[in-house]
Amino acid sequence: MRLKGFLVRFFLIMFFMWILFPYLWMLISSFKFQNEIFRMPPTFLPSKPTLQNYGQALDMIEPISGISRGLRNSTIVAIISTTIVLLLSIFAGYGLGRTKFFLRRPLLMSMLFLGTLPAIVLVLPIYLLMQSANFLDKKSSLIIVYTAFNLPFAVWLLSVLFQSVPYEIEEAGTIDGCTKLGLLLRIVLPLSLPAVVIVGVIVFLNCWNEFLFALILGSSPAVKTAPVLLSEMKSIHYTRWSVMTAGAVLQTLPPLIIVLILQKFIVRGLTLGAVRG
Amino acid sequence: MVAGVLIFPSLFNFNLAIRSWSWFDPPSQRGHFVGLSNFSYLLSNTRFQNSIFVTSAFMTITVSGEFFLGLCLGVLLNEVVVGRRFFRTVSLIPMMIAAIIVGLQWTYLLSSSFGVINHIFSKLLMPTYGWLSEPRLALLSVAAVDIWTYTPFVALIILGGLQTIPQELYEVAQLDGASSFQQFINVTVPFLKPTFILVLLIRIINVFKTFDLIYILTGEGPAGSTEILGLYAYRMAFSQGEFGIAAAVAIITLLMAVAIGIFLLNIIKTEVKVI
Repeated sequence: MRLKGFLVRFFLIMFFMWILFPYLWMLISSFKFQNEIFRMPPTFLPSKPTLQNYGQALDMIEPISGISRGLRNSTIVAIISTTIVLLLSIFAGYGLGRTKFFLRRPLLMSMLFLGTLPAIVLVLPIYLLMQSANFLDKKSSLIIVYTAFNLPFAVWLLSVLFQSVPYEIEEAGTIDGCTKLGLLLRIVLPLSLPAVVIVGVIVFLNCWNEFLFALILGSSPAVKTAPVLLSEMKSIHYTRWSVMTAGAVLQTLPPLIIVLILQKFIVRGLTLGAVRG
Repeated sequence: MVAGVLIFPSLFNFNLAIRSWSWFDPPSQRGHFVGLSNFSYLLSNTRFQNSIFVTSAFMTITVSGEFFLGLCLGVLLNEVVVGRRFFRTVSLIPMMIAAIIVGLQWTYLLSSSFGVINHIFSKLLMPTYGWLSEPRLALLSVAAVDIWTYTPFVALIILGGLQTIPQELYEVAQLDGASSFQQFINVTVPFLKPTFILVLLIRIINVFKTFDLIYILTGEGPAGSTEILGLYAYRMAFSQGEFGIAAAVAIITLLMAVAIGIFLLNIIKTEVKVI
């Protein structure tokens, strides 16, 4: 029995290292100078730790080559999209979760289906439509696409979560003279606030990390998001690993912080989206 | 809004798939109706056949690898109580950081000239490889990175399923003299069937969504050895300007994803009443 416990721990620790090592290696490398990154055999800890890479990544040393504009664009796009998604999905989710009408189930199922559409199916038509509407290379086009892509998932998840609010509480509210809107804003929403936060966080991360549409719809520096700028740093001829690792660390900070704070709820949100069918 | 940005373009895509639409045509000539000739062009095109093959191989390797490893991990995790919170946090990291970043960090680790993996291999007196530059290996390397990313997530879902199994079932099985392997086969597996199908469904759908990771790791090379359908459609449209053909590829991708999805959902309906 003790041997078994030991073996289990051993494998789990191996596993943790396997998961953490790539990220740690990138973190360590972001403090190295470029020539040390290329050194063979590799050094584990930086021999001369430097913050220069971060300065470059944030455009504080030489302008334009870093990703500070990308981070700003990502933040703007992700926050606006998340806000719109939350506003719309709270009402739609409440409506679909609470009211009973004949289209309810088909609508919910189609929400689920739309959430699984591969982005590549939609990229071409959206690109051509945006082009004919002169919407290419604008942040607003990204916001529209991200909102539409995350809305089905958010509506579906919120409608499931709103259903778990006991109906009796709402009845009590109605007796006290609350309108439908009042029920939602005063009773259901405060009760399911954690759920709403989780949905918001997942939507935010989806937008923050999205790549395909950001790559195709934005081609000027005023629109490019951080993932696109980072991907451009990798080239066949010369990759600026030092700046790139620093930029990548900066880009991953928001997701990491969110995971650290909300890990329990995120698992629930991700699996709930899947388990209840 | 959803209708405008998701449903209408899907239909538009069908429309595009039956027309000849190329950047190199003058605008007035774009959009001829050509019926199904885009599809018949694809069926006889070796690059498309290669892409179908790559996608199936990628799907087989990643889904089975993630499922098997995830199951092992889930079962192991179910044994420990201390540190589960920590595990959960760690497990979410690969999935929560952008696929682009995952791709970049692995490009760096797998690099043939200054990568750590090759350094470790040479220290162990094993031959070193160009993990991402040799056509034989590239698909395996890419699949390995995908497995790295999603195994912990699969493990978390399976762990969640394991914890819903009533402990009494195992006690009864023990009274009947079942070994722990028999307990696993006869109690755990049947109970987890819905979870298994769910995991498979999520992962298979995701194969058709995979784009970022391969885009950044290998592009589609070397020699097209990692060109899955998504990348093929992307290259067709944005490198070669053949939007009509790319739309046909997208339609085929969609149909494959939907077919597999419906197939698995039907299994859920007939096999399990829980969901």
